[in-house]
Amino acid sequence: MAEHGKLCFVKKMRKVTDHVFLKMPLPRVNPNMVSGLSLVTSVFFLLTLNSAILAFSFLLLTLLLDWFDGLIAKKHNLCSEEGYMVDITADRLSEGIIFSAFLFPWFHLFALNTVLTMLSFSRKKHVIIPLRHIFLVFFLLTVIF
Amino acid sequence: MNILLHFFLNYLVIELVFGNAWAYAPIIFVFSILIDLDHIPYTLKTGRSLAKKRFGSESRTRFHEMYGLALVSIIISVSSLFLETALVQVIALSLILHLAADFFLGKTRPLYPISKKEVFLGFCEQKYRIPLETVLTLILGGLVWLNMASFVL
Repeated sequence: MAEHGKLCFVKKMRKVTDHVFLKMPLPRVNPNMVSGLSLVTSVFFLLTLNSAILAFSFLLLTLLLDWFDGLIAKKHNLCSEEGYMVDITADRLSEGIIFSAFLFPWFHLFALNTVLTMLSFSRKKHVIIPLRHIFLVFFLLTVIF
Repeated sequence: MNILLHFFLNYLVIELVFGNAWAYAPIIFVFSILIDLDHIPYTLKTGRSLAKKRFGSESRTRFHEMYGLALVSIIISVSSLFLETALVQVIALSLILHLAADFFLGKTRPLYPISKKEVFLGFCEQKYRIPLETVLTLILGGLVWLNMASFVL
């Protein structure tokens, strides 16, 4: 479910990154815990908003954790539908926490993403906006300029 | 997670993020426990006393899961066009942190009713959950009391 429903270009991109990064030594931990930790780092992003560098670091860490949970699951053959459900739920909750401080337009896009998530799961086609990745670039540009 | 812990956690996070939790304390309290109202049908259906009840994933309706998150996010997005920004942010964070805390500590069915599969992150075994929640409630309650006392005194 996690992979076969994704769009073609996402699949190709994942294939390349997986080829490189699955060779890395990754700890055999519960990937659900890694997904859950991204909620904690999202809260820390909010708590450190006064310091742009710290906030940026926690946002980056949130995205890295989101990426690592999938890598760990693939590396140790722990992929499952439950894992996919945990991953997408943790992603939406993390977006909700982050964007509650940035209402327009981010929270509105997050609302759209939650609906897309439910549709993606029921239609078995993964179509979700990578909002936090886009926000990371936006946040970086805001800090720089 | 018990309703007091939800309130204390949300109050402290909102105080640290926005610095105005005292002004919105009643609103934080209402929206921190609002989602738990969906336990009422389960409470009425199973006739046991509240003290003996186990509020697991089976006690939650769709409003406690992703479906509820989607509904909350749409309502907040629309209300942000009419209401004061600070108020909307406090309401949004109260509701979303409630769902996040339940997802983090307990067993949930995130995509109910599309899927009835139960998931668990594995941070705290169920047998340690009540002692952990009790300790957290006391610690966070103490911090909230200190914060509120600083405004009153």
